[in-house]
Formats: sequence, structure tokens, C-alpha cells
Amino acid sequence: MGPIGDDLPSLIPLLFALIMFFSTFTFAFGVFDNKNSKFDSDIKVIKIAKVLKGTSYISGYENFKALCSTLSIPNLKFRAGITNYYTATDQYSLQYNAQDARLYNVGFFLDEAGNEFSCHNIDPAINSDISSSPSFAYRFFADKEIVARIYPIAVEDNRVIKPMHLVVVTWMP
Amino acid sequence: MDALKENRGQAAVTDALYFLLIVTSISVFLFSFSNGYGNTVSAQIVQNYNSDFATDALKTILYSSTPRNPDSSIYGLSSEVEIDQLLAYVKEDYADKRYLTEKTMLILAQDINSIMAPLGDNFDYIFYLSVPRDQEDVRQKFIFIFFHKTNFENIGTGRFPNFVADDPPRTDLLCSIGENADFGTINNSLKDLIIRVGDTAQASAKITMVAEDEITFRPFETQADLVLWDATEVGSVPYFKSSEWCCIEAGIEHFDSSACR
Repeated sequence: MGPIGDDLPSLIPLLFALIMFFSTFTFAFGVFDNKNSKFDSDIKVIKIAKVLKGTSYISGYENFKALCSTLSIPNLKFRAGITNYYTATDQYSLQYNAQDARLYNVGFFLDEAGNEFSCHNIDPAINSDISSSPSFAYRFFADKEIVARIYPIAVEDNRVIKPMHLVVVTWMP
Repeated sequence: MDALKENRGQAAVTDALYFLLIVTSISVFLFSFSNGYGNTVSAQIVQNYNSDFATDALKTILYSSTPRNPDSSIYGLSSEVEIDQLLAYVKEDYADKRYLTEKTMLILAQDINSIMAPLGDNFDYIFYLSVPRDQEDVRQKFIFIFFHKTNFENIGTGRFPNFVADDPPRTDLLCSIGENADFGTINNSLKDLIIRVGDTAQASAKITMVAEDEITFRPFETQADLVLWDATEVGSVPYFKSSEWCCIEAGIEHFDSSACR
């Protein structure tokens, strides 16, 4: 055996160690990246909710629209709105198909003038389809990793303060 | 020298094995660190969300309107339906009688239940309105306690309890009901409960209420508290109906001055 032959057996644990190290390194950075991106989405949901909630009291559609117009969320798609899904107690107020409602496609509140309390940065046609068609909403969100949050909010409508909920759903484009 | 030359390959392998050992240690550390990475941040985000939810829920409860007739709804109103702020309605009812009537308690309970509904399946919560300290003419007391609890049944034996969902899965209780309800006992039980359930999210608000006497209305300070936590086993419904808590099932049992058994 020459000098190279002597060192050949030592190359096996060396290579094994290098492969193991770089595999763990890649795995760890994948995990860091994945978790950081999740935290980023969580923080953006909180930011959107903080802007739209204001003081947890919305004095009407104009107030909600004004809050919505101040939002600027790049690199992330969101669909937010105010719903009375949980607080309405009679059929009059159930302005959606309650059986198929999920947090990502829950119908938003319409005031007497027909204004929908929704705020989003997606195509209006897609937003409308998500609300009106549960099967479309299911297909649309099937391959998306969504982050959803819900917050109680008081909304003044026709001089009556109604308890409702603000729903915020975000996903990566 | 010859012996050294003969062992050269063995020395190289030993060096490589030491290198492998060091790299394995680093990899194990990196692997365990990456698995634990962000767990504290995740827990903090969830805790902040629960605190935000509790604060917003308390504000919404206190801001809400209600029809003065509990059979009416705030939606689809006709001009005959009289609407009032829920808090004003509660204050008025208390000022008249120095306690809340069954009707007022149920309206308040229904409002709280609907606002907390999105978390109601996974969380237990307690909302209470109390006079936290003795004041002129008004003693410490609980004016209203609403407790939403998840029911569990223990199917395990001895030292190995095994809790499964009970039927009904959840019960809404109105507590501190009846003449025998004692503030001190219930307050101690409440503190004990909040310590036992683990991490909680809490929100509080001060409310000025009035008590009517023969001459005038006397204002006094009360406190509204909302505490929520992950659903956990805290005791059976019969336990909460006992003299320690003096509860009745909301909307099922009617009030009785001797309700506290």
C-alpha cells in the first residue's frame, strides 16, 4: 500500500461526516426559512387586523373603507372583512350559505345600502366567487398555506351597535 | 520508523473517526436547535392573539346594543322594537333591584356566548361582573358570573386518569346565584380555578354602576373581567352547582332563591 492507499479507508468516515453535516445544515436552514416565513405571515395578519380593527369599534361602512384604504401589504395576498356569522340569530341576517361557511370563505356583512364590509388585495371577481361558491373557495385555497385570524368587533349599523367578527385570511401568492 | 509507517493508515482512520464524532455532535446540536427554533415565538404569538381576542371581546360586549325585549333581534328591526345599549340595560336593571334579573342575565349570557363563539369549541372562559371591594353602601359581591366549560369524563382508573369528551360536550353556567352564594368562597374558588387551568388570557374593565336608594342614585365602582384558557378538566357540572360556586345551567334551569345547594 502506498501513501494514497494508506489514507483511502479514512476517506469513508470523512465523506460520511461531510455528507451528514451538509444534509443537517440544509435541513436546518430549510426549517429556519419555513418558520421565519410563517412568523412573517403571522405578523402581517396581526398588522392587517390592527389597522382594520382600530379601537374595536367601527362606526359604519365609510369608517371601515377609510381604514382599509390605509393598508398596503406587498408580497402577500389577503382577504379580510366583517361577518355576523357567529352573532346573528335569525335567518334575516344570515346572508350566506351557513352550512358551507369556513373561516376562509365566510360571507361578509352587507349593510342596508348593500355595502359589503370587505377589504382585500385580490381580483374582485375571485373575492366574489370565494364568497358565493364554497366549492370554488375550497379549490382556490386547496394548494395555499393560509393563516387566518378572527377578532370580535362592534359595528354601528343603522344606529344600532352590533357585535360581529373581523376575519383576516392571508396566503403567499 | 517502520512501525510508524505501518500504523500510518490506522492513524489517518482514527483522525477521520474523531472528525466524524465532532461533526456528528455538531449535526445533532444543529438538528435539535432547528427543531426547537421559533417555539417560544410561536407560543408568544398565540398568547398575544388570545390576549387581543379577550380584550376585543370585552370591548365588544360592553359596546353592544340589545333589544329591550329579549325575544326580538337587533337584525331586521321594526320601528316598534326598542333598542338600548346592553351595558345601560344591565345598569338600569341593577339600579332598580340591586341584583340582575333572570331575563337580563340571559340576554348578557347570549351576547357573550355569540361573541366568544369562534373560540367556544376549543376554549373555556369565564366572564364576571363584580364589586371588587366594599364601598359606601355596597359590599363586595359578584353581580354576574357566566362560565362556559368543556365537559370531560374520566374513563381511566386509579392513578391513570383518561379524560374523554362527555355528553353534552359543553355547558354554560350562571354562577353565584341564590341567597346562599358567598362572595369570599366563590372568589377563592375562582382564584383557585384560574391558577389550575394553566396559561390564561385576561381582560378587565372598570364600570360605574348605580344603586337606587330612597333619596338618590349612588354610583359605585364595579369590574368586568373576561378570562379564557385552553379547554381543560376543571370539575363536573354537579360540582359547580354545589355551594362552592352556586351555579345553574344557563337557559335550562330557572332561578331559585335557594338555588345554591
